[in-house]
Amino acid sequence: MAARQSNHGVPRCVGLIHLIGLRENAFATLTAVCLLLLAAAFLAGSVLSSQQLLLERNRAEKAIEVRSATWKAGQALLTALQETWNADEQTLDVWWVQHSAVFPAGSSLISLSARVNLNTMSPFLLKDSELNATLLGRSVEDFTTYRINEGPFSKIEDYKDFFKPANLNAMYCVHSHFNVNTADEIMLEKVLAAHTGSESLAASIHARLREFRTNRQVLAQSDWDALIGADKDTIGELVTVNPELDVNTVPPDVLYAILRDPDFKLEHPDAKVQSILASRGSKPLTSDILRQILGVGKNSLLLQYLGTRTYFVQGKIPEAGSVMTFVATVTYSSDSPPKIALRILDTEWTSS
Amino acid sequence: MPRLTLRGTKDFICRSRLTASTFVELVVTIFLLTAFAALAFPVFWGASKANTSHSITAAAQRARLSLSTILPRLCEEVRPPYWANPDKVFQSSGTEWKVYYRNGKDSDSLILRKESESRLSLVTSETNISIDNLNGLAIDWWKQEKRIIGFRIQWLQDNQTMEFHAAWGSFIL
Repeated sequence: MAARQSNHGVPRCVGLIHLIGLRENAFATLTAVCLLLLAAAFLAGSVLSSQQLLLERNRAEKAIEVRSATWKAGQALLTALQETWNADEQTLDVWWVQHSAVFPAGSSLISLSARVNLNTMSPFLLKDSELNATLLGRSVEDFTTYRINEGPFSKIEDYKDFFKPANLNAMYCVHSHFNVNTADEIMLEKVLAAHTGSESLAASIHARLREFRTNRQVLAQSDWDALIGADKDTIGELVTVNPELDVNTVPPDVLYAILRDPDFKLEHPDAKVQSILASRGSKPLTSDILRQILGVGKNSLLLQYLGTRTYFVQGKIPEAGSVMTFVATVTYSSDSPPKIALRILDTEWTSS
Repeated sequence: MPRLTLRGTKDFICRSRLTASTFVELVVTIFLLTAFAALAFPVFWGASKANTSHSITAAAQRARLSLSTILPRLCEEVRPPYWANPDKVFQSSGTEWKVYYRNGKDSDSLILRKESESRLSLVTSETNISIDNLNGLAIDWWKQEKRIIGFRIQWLQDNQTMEFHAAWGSFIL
């Protein structure tokens, strides 16, 4: 019995010691496990945070890459235009129809010289021509006052309260040269003051221009050069005698509105518009042919509005979730066919 | 005696079990501690290493990343009208390059300031950001055909001259 008890007693005693020993060892094990878990958590945290940094960096680099690719597509479009457009043989619209497939789907290229510049437009043209019907329930005086007080504007949206949306986006723009013969005098002076940084110079040029306008004399290039003299470099290409509109790309509505303007006293304006539309289909009109169709002399004021060259283009290149819109100026050499130089003036990314 | 023998044997077995158990515990503990060290050491080593020998490169890369993400966004807001006067829009001194533009109907300016040989500040009415670790920092206008079209930033990284360009949102005719 005792042996039985003792037999049972010894293992019980050893088991207790064993248990205590196990507890002590388990504490060390538990500590090691805790440290291990801590290290694992620390490691996981480090990995996660570094992953987050990498993700953020990748996102930023990807956004830059996408923009860079869109920018390159825009540059490629302008390079193709520069290298392959024969402006004497095809209109800009025809060139784009032939080449648009090369560029990302949804891209577009239009001539801004097909639209009337609201920053320069004479209030008389808006009042007397059919363009008056494009006003959004506002008077010409309202428009003129707004433009003088707050303009000129570099975004067409700034005129949205004055023109019907459909007309604003199809017939008007805010990019063109300022033609000395047709631009609104006050706006011309404002722009000259802003561009040259000299209000006195702008006022002086305005005063001299006033004399020409009072005498109903159209300034030729030589007159303009003589008028500005040494300030030619300062004024640069912003103010010129180049016509603002290109008859080869102007929409019929704008052509009708201008040619029907009673101030030009043009006979059979509708027939002349039809003739222009028919003639420009196969090949761009030249200055001589335009003059013949219009039946006007070289010094006609109408030829200061209507020319045969596109000086401003607007392109759109779509990218993921947004569209890059750019405006570029076009200059032509005197060669035949003319060599073309393009320079981007404005870029904007808008969500699509 | 047999009892004693029996008891001694059992005791021995029990003690042996205890020793084996302790040995296993010891092995497990050593293994876990080794595993802990194996995990912890690279982390601490990596962290300390990153803070020492690699810190300069990492900081320079962060600076480059900050510059390449922030500056183009700020420059895109710079939209001088194409009829503006460049002398009034762009002004610079030895340490400050300032460009004026219209933000909606208000006037604003973007200033790039060289605070030190390695510190660049980008300041507008709404932001004031400093970027450090651009050693050998040099700021200038980015010009094309004599026209100022953006900023050009240069700095040194790993003994190489890095260059970053950022163009305005619009340009003067």
